Order: sequence, then structure tokens, then C-alpha cells
Amino acid sequence: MSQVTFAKLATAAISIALSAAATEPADALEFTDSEIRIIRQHSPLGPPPPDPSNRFAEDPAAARLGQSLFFDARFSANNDVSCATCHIPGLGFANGAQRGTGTGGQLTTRHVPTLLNNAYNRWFFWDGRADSAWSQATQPLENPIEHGADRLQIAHLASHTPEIRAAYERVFGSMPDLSDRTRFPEHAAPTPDVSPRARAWRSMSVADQHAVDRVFTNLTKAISAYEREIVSRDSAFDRFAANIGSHESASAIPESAQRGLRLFVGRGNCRLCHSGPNFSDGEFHDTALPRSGGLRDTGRWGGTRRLLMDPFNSGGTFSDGVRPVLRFVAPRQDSSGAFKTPTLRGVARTGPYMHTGQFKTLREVLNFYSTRENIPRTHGEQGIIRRLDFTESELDDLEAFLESLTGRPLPQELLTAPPSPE
Amino acid sequence: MVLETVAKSRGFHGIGAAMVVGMLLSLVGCDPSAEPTSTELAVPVSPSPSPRSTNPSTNPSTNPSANPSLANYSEPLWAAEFESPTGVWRLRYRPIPDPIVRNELFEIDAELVSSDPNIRITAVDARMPEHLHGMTLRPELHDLGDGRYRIEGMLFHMAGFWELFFWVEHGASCIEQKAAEPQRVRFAVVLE
Repeated sequence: MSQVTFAKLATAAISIALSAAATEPADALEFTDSEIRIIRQHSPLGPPPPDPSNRFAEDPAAARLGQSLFFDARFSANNDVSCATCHIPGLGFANGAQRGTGTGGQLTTRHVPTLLNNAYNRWFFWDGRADSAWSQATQPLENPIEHGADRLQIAHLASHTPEIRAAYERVFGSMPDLSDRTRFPEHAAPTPDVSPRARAWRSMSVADQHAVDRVFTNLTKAISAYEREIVSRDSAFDRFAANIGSHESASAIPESAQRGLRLFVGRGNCRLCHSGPNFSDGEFHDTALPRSGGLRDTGRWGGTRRLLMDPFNSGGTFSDGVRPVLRFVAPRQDSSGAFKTPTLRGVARTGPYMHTGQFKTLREVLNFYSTRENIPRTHGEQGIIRRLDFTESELDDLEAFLESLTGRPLPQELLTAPPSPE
Repeated sequence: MVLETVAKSRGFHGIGAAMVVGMLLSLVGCDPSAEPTSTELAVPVSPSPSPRSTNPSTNPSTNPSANPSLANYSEPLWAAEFESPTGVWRLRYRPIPDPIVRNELFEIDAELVSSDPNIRITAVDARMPEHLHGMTLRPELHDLGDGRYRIEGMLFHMAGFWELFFWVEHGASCIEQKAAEPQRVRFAVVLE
């Protein structure tokens, strides 16, 4: 190596070192004991809570089958929609748009929520109309503007596809014989209408309906087992929280993010709803969001009624165990217009935001909470949400903190269809 | 009309837990879903000066056996109790688990002590007055007899100041009872 080359390399090395030093935070903020206690409520994120309604939730074979189904567009009316159509792995398992696009290009009525950390939820959908991930998955499959499929179509497809059938039987035992089309029509579902699908469903015996529902819910239990693996954790914030109060924490997140964290747990009061290690209380709030068109959405009010009527809720025949909280669900007057608190883990990658998807960026969300402009007067409200008048610098800090909640990348093998469902 | 009294409370429940800081008693309607009146909400509730325990295992409300003087205590340790102004009845309760864990289901044991068997607890609910909302669940009240009650389905999903309400009624007629005795006991609970 010539002296000139060596000198150039040495200069480059010094330059890189200086650059690294320049990006390192100057110092860690001094947090009070009270702040530290609250910050530690948010980290680390442990394993998802058990799902008593799905005894296959932790079964790796069920998860591989579920992963295969998740990416399979054949489970839709026009072979054009899979779960991954709206829950795009590269976009934090959201879709990057205000609304989801279902079969035939139809738009969903609400924004697509991320599936990151879905297994930590107590309720599912923005309005909580399902109490398990597997019962949630039954609904978009049969929703005419999402997959537009029906449970007979789905059961027949699973039955006729050798690799899916084999994977199914390995996990759930033998699949029923669905070959008699007089007993098991090509298409049927218990929709509340007079459509051919609904009539076909009513023509079936209760025992045959039950057999199909068992296959249908087993398939969604497999999807749920896959979704349990989609976990965002080990973020820069977690590294900061693990060492808070020590010198090591200074290098975990920038000083700006630390200032944002202080606002998050302090003056901003964000942590009241975005609480715990998953940054969500899992419950429902009316934030007086400006109307973004359409009829008033009753949110949790309607969701509660649908949950209680859902035969696939955790108290139903196809559940492996009731979730204790279901027993105490009842429509409550103050739940109208309330929507589920989303997790903030990975939030920087899952825009747009809110159940309406009306805010494209985190900055717009933060501005909404800061200024409280254009909030509807007639809307139900949460008295604790008050105008905060954050400065531009404070908004920068909050945004930096939210960026620090991005977890380590998920294993690549979880982001695409597996080579085989088995 | 609103009456206030000093809580006969042990005073603290530990970090991240319920801290009973006082109780209010008010004359209001019988409907548990009725909104508290502004008069009620205007009544100040003084925070307890009692220290908080940072170690639940040393908190006598959590672990009686940790305190030798309480090791043989045969009665439940009540979180707080209230005696009606006329002394006709006394209400006390304890959460299970104690301390309450934020955003996790808990139960309540309550006891209504009275020489009049017609006085009973008819409903229990909770609310966050600063937030203008209550719990997201509807708790179930079970009358176990002998003035003992078990309330299931309690969930304080947020940190902050909660009001825990017990509706106490006399006989079948709420209206008759209204003139003589208060109907709703309000305990103040703070979660971190």
C-alpha cells in the first residue's frame, strides 16, 4: 500500500469517526424518579398474552399454514385479494393509504390498521367487534368489499388443495368430506339477506353448517397463529429504557427523542391512552376527530353490539375458551364515537393515521392534538384531551420519540408466503 | 346536597395501585347510568398525605403475613369504609387483587353492615371525572347474603383519578329511602 493511499484511508477513517461523534447525542436528559417509573411501564414488551380461545395459537405448524393462507389471493371472490393485499409486510402490515382496497377495487370504510403486535390486543377492529384475532379474520374473508369470499368456497378450496389439506390435517385432524354438493354447495354463507349464498346456507343441515364452520374457524385460527409472530419490539426506545438513568442510555436515542419522551409521559399526557409496553390501553376513546366525510361512525357502540351477536366470539361454540372480559361487555352510552387506541410500536412506518386514515403524517396527528382545531362540537369528548400548544421544536421532539419506537426488522421469512403451508 | 366525610382508609395501596384518598356521599338518583351532577364534581377531594409504598410485599394491604401483628388477622383487610351519617349502615370494600393493577380485570369484596336487612347495595360503577368517561365494561354485582357482596368485571383501563360508586338502597323504593338516607357512596381512587 502506498503512503498516499494509506494517508487517504487514515483521513477517511478519522472523518468517519468524527461523523459518528457528531451524530451521537450530547447527553442523556435527567429524568425524575416519577418519570422513570412511568417510562419503565412502557418497556420491555414481553410475549403476547395467551389466547384461551385458540388452542393452536402457539403451534408453529398452524402458523406456517396461516402464513400461507395470509398471502393466498385465491381466498377471495375474484382471486385478487389476500390478507397481505391490505396488510402489506413492507408497510408495517398496513397499506400506506387512507382506505383499504378490496376485491374489484372497492374501498373499505375505515383505514387499515397495522397487524404489528396484533396479538397484544384485547379487542380487534377499530370498533372492537371481535374479541380474538381468529374471529376477526373470519369477517374480511366474507365481507363483500374485502375478500368477498364465503365459507363454503374457502372450505372447498382448502379441501381440494392437497398441500393446504395436508397442512390442515396435520394440525387440526381430518377434514370432513365436503364432496357432496347437495349437502355442501359451492358457495354459501349465513349473510342476513336473500342472496343465493344465504339461501344455500339455509338449505344445509345444522350438522353440515357446523362442520363447515369448524373448518372455516380452524383456518382463521391458523392465520391468527401466524399473526402472533408479527411482533415489533426491541426498539431504540427499549434500549434507552433498559438503561435509563445510566450513561449507556444516552447513546440509545437522540436527545430530541428524549425530550419527546418527556412530553409523552408528562405534559402531553399521551401515555394515558397509549399506555403499557405496547403503547395502547387496548380500549376505546373519542378524540373528537374532525369528520372526514360519510355518516357518523358510532365506533365502539356499534362494535359492542356486533361482538355480542357474533357466533364466533370467544364465548361461542368454536372457541376453545372464553376470554374472561367478554362476560362484562355491554353497550355503554359513552362508547359512541369511540375507537380503539392503536399501538405506537412501529408507528413511524404505518401511516396514514387514525381510524379514518385522514392524517398522512405523524406531524399532522401531533398538530391535531396540539391545536385541537376543527374538532366537532357535537362529538362526544374525552375531557382529558386539551389543547397543548406545542412549539415546532416540541413537535420535532415528539416525532423523534415516536421514530424511536420502530422495532428491529422482522425475520425475512415472515414477510412472504412460505414455500409450503406445511 | 352533598356530604363529605373523612375516609377511614388504610391510606395507601402501593405504587401503580389504587390509593383511597377520601370519599364523598351524595343524594342523587337511583339510576347507575346517571351522570354525576356538576355539584358533585365540584366537591374537592383531598389527596391523602399518607406515604406510598414502593414495595408491595411490605404493604400490609397486599401481604398481611409480612406484618406479624396482622398474621392472625381473621377478617379481610378493607381498603376503606364509610359509615352513614345516621349510623344505620356501614359500607366497606377491598379490591382483589390489592393493589389494583391498571388495565387488568379485578374484583371487589364489599360488606354492608346494618341492623336493617332491607338496606342493600344495588349497583357498582366507576368513572373518571376529569376524562368524562367511565369504565368500558359493565361490572356484575353478586349478593352473597349476610351483607356480603362480590363485584366482578371491574377494569380501570387508564392511570389517573377514578371515582368508585356504590349505590345503596333501602327496600324496594328508592324514593322512600331518598328522604332519609344517602344513596350513593363515592370512593376516590388514584392509579399511577
